[in-house]
Amino acid sequence: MTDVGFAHGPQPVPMWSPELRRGLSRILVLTALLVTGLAAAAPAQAADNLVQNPSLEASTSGFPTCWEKSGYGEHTFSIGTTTDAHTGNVASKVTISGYTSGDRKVMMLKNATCAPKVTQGRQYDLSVWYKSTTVAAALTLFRHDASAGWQYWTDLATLAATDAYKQKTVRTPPLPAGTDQIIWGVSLYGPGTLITDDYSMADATALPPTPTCTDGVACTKGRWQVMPYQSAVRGIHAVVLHNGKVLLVAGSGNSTTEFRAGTFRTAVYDPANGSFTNVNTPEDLFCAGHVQLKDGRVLVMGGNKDYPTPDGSVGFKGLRSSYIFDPATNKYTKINNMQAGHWYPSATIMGNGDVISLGGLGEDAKGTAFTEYFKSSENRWLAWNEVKQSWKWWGLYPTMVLMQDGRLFYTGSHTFGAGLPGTGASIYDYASGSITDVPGLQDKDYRDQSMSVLLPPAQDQRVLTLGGGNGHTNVDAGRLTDIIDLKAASPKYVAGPPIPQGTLTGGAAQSSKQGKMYVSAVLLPDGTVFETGGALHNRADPVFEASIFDPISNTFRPRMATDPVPRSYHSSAFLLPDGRVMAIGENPGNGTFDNRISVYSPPYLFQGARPQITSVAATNWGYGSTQQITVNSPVVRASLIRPAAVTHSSDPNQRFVELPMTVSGNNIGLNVTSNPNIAPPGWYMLFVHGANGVPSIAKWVKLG
Amino acid sequence: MIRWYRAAIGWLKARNPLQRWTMAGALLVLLLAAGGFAVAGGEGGSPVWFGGRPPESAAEQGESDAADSGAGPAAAAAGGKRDQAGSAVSAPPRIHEFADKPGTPERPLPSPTAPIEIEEGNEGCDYSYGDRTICVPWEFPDGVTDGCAWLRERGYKPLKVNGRDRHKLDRNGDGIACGDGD
Ligand SMILES: [Cu+2]
Repeated sequence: MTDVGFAHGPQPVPMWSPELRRGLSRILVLTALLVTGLAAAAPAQAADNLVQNPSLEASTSGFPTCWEKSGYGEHTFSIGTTTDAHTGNVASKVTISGYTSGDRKVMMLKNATCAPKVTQGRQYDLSVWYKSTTVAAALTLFRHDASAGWQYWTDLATLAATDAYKQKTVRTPPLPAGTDQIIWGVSLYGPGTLITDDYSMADATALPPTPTCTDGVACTKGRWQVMPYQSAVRGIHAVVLHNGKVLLVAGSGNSTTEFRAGTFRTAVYDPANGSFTNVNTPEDLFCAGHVQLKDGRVLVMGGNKDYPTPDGSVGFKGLRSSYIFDPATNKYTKINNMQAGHWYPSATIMGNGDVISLGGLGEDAKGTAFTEYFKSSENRWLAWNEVKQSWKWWGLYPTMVLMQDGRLFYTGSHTFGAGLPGTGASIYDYASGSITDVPGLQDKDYRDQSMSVLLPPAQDQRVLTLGGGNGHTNVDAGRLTDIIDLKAASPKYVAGPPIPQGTLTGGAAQSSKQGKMYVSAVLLPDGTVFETGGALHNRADPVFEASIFDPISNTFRPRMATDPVPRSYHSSAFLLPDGRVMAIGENPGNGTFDNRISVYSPPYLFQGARPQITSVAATNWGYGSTQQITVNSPVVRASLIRPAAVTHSSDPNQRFVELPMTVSGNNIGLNVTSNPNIAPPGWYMLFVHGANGVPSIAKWVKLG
Repeated sequence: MIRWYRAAIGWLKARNPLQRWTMAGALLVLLLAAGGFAVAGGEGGSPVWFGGRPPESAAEQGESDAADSGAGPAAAAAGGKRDQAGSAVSAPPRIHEFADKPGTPERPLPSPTAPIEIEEGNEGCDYSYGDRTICVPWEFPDGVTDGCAWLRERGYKPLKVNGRDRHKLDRNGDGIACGDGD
């Protein structure tokens, strides 16, 4: 800015002429004003660039100081520097020709002086100038953990191809606990050429406003409201629809009277006005599996073919039937049968929109070892000779979470039927048919009706499994939690903090080892996990306890307000698009069913005005794209949350997908993952939240 | 379903024995062929779009490789499992080689030859008490000495015994568990 060529006038002029002095003084004043203005507007950005040798000009042994050549996998590449720089004379250049796998990148050096120092929980704006002939370029971060050392952290953005230099800026999510340094760079992961220059990194942490809550205990514990009306059906299955309503499926609702009468029930509940719309239910969908398809319709598979014989010698039998529920018409349409019956099947949507369903009991009341594969493009279940079988018996409602490479992680969370061989958790690769046990799950035979969630954000590939018991031996349910990082080469569960304790009926405190089964875990739009409900024993002894797990600190915030309604067997809790949590269902062993509905407002709803998403440029989102929204007040984070499809403490598709932000005032670019396995296609709730954690109301967008 | 079945039976009954045996034979051959196919694994296009287990040899993610250039398999980009060509608009999925050394895979299982038996009391309930929507625990929690008191406290009504009384809840033998006099 100061070396503007004003002294190159064509004619000789006298030294310090009045014109020159006037001109110089104007320039001086302008410069002074500009500098002050910039400094005031963005002190952090203007002041410190945390990147060492950000323009790559200084070099050591022929390569930019504090930078290194990095990458892995099978591909033909060259990596080095070029004079085609954005500023100065040096930029980095990476070229890949033949490509099979891996990536190639110029990264900051992982050492004490070169790697930018950071503070956990803070956020940073990263920016780079680049040219690229391909979209197969991602901004990649590694983090240094004070105890575990350097490790991959995340990919924040996909860089669009560009012939001319372009700047990409993106904000990190809050840094995970233990992080003291990060490094980053742009990874090329397909054929093409990528040139980068002029990196910058600045603290972009917004300080939360002074708390203003005046709602007493609700400020820190949140508040429950029990609705003044009851559910029209037994809410054993709950699916949040992309019109904001909730599909509640009962089927016969665990009532032999209803079953014998052929009375099967479903209702669509509208949380906005408390109305229930009856849905004609052609078969007994009690204990079916379900998942939203990529177009927002709901695939329902299996259900109850028959109750046990009167003496209990033959157990529940599973249906082979499958239906698609359409929220536009509130109707079920029957599709082709599965290969076998499934009572308590899993349902996981894959990155391509297909669905894999496993486990449950068959038409003969025996275990079903068939892998069932729903092909989305053909709207049908594949026949036995079209599906790759593993012949593994997965138990009932096995929680199968889609991993970032398309494999399934069986979390070890299930319903009934403990005592299966192995470590209790495994990785199942449908494509190859291979199944590999994963170690570390504590007390694997006491995780009946525990709950697992893919922790926010989905990009971090960490799963939390909470609680559980053993309905057969009926020991006290436990407080165990286990966390696994599926980014590790050899993932294994490690023990997490124990579930905080609550009270039993009558107000007695739980004793030291008592935890809960039938636990519900709900991903919240501020990136935390709300856990609620549960019971100490098989269909008995509800536990009144709720807390919030923070995946950044890996700790619980205990003693949240508790649902006044017991929530044990056949109960569920799930996120509503307005940021509240709805809880439904309770079916104790005495055969009754509590049809009350409770709704929880987390503490974040008592902290002042909510940010609003004032516009969303597009409703249909593509992978690897940057989507524009506007907001009415500063926000620190954006996410896509997949709407619930939950039953029996199982919602393997529940996920919070980070949308790293490119912030320009109230205009925000949202960087969508390029990987459909991180966010399988379908409708999502788009949330943003402010520095105080107060979330917006969701906007619905369709991904993929 | 039932109408279809009846029609098929009716049609079959109208055939003479020779015709019936011929049809049965043809069916048997078909079944055997299908079974063989199932055991052989039924090769043919995997319906998964992409993904699956990365190669065992995958290098540690982010491991520094200081080479200036390198060569992979020639023309590997063509026909690869990810669609790289023509991806000018949307980025190919960025998939990492995480969890690439999860341990030894289980031995592949053969197609089961016997049903997978489910232990009685799978749901934790002893259905021989009352209706099957009632769940008298298969095992009472530790320390419960008076089952009927425990059940009564939890809102259970007296229950008809369906043949078997594992928990001895019908002490007076009137067929009603936890009834008057139990
Ligand atoms: Cu159930």
